[in-house]
Amino acid sequence: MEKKSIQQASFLYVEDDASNRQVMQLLMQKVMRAQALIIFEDSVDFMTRVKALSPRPDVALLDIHVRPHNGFEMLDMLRADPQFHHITVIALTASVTNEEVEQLRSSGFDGAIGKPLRASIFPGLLERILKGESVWYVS
Amino acid sequence: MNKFFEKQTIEEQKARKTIMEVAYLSLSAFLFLTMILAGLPNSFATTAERVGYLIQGFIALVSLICYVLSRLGNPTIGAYFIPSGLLLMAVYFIYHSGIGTPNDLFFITIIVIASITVGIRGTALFTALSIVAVVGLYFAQRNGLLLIKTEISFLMIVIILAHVLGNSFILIFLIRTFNKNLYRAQEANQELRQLQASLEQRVADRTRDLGIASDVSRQITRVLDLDILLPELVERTRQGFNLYSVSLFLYDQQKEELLLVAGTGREGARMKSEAKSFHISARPSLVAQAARERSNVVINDVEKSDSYFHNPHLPETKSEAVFSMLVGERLVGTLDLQSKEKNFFGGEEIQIFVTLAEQIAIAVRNADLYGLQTKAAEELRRSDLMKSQFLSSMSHELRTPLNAIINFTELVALGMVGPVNEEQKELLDNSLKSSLHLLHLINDVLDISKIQAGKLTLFIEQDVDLYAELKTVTEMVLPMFRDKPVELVQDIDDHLPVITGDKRRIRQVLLNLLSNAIKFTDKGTVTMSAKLQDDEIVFAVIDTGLGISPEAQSVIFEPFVQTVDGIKMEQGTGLGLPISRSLVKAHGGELWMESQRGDGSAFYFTLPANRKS
Repeated sequence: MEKKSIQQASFLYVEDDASNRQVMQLLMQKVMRAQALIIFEDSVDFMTRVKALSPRPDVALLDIHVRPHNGFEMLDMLRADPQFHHITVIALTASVTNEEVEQLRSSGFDGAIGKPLRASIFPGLLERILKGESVWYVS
Repeated sequence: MNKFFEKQTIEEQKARKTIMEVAYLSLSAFLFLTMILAGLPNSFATTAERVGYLIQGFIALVSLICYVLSRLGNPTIGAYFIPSGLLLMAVYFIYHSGIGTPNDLFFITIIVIASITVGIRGTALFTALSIVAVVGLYFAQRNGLLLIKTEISFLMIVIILAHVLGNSFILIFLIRTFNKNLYRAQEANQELRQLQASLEQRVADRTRDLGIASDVSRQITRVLDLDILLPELVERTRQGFNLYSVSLFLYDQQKEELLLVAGTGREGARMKSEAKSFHISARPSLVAQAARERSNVVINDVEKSDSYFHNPHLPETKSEAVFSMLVGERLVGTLDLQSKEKNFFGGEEIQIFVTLAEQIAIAVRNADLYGLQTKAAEELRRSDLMKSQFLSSMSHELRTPLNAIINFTELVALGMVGPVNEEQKELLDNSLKSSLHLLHLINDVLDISKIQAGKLTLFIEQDVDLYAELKTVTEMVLPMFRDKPVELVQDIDDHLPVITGDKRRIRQVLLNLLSNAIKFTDKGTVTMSAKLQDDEIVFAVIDTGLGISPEAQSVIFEPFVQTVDGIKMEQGTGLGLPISRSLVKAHGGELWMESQRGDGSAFYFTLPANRKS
């Protein structure tokens, strides 16, 4: 993946909680001035909708507790498709136990960010992700 | 033959025969030799006498041969044959040589042979025959019927007869005594042998009994499931001790009832299926009686006992013993043994059954305890699972709204949704601080729950760069120094190794110690140091704050305990230190403190430098 700035990159966020969606939107637009953020409220027809996106997202931020397909399933679907094989997939989770983090790692997520998303921290993490760093900020 | 012989064993008969043969052969050989010697030309005797002696020696030789021949045929006939033949020869010889010569020896020889070979009756018979022969010969000589005519006095005959009789009596007496002594010795020997045999039998019996008991005991210690253990136990006991029936009753304290839980054979199975039971006050019932008396009841002949309760399922019972099974004072049940033999329970095996009953009691108790334990463990596992699920869902459900509060407060405070004045910002910051504190609290409670449930797991990484983690932690705590005249001093080795551990948890410990230090220090310094010492890294967070009293020090690592100062601060959960200590321990390190009231505090912890997981 060629290195892009937050302003250049396009993001996909899947989140069923309205507050979280609103927070992400505010953070992206007001704090980070991101240009391309697509938000799904659920994972119905996930791959069809993802394939319809233009531009193709560089980073997918997936909440784990989403229906009908949870974060792990969405990850598997993305990984199974050659078109999306290499996009960066980050888990956003309020669960911070070691077992859960370990599960995220072993499932193949590129990184994880624990909720709440802090305005003072999240932009920095996103920049590091875009640089290709592995980010596991779950404390 | 001799009446004593009949009671003798084959070996004894053999021994006796050998003695007899040796005596007889020696005597015959002696007679043969002396007579041959006496018959030699230069001996003291006259020619006629020498011829007589030679003939006697020849007869002794013949008797030897006769004896050997008789050994090949019937010994009894042989035994009578020899003295009889000799007697006839003696009469014939004296008829030729005349009486008055030392021929009485002949008669004595015959009597000796008779004594040894055919016993007392034979001796008496041959003595009588000898006397008749001597008297007969005397009168034959007087009337000139003998070939040799010598003058012989009546006195001489009396002396010869006295000689023969005296010798006979002495011989008879000697042989009787010999026989008696031999018999006594044989009897004593036999008794000894019987005693030894019975001792051996008893030892064998005891050994066998103990073997069965230990076999059963082994079974007891191995099997904890009573449904498997007890049927096997009664069956083994029945077989091992060759009993008619063995049943086991367990006591139900609430119902005050003894319930049959295992019985041998088809009868046992039937009684079990009928749920045979006795109330503890039942009469007549040996089972209830033994249970009531907490003792053992033995009836060695059921027909003579009025306390025996005839069981139609077990018609062949002749004796019965019931042993109460106790653990301490508590009645566990009874062991009921029945035999088809009278007086079966008279011996020492009683003690073995008592021990067996004790062991079964212990086994039942163990199995009960094991059952309770398994149940308790199962319940514990279930409640533990529920607790974990509850914690997990609480973690998620509590955090979601809280996260929203934190996010929105922060965004508003940052002016993202419109300008905020100073006062508004201060209030929003306070709100944010409290929300974060609440989040922290939730995290701490989750952590401590995990630690207490023994479910704390580390996410171990092989390449933890301590410099990076220390830097992160420093950055996180620096804002806390802004409002105080307190300086953060760092004293960190230049050559700390990369270690194996859980980054997030190591950070958590450092963060906890540092934020505590800053919280309780109004001026001076907070020093953070990390040094490699041997094979471990020693971290220290030292402050110049209030210090901690000895009383507080003793409880500071207990969960949910806060110092008086801590409570005054209105911050923290009292969980940070216990969590930190558990986290360090999980890494294989130690966490401890040193402090004096008014003189600051120092918290130390170690992490293994070469930890491999």
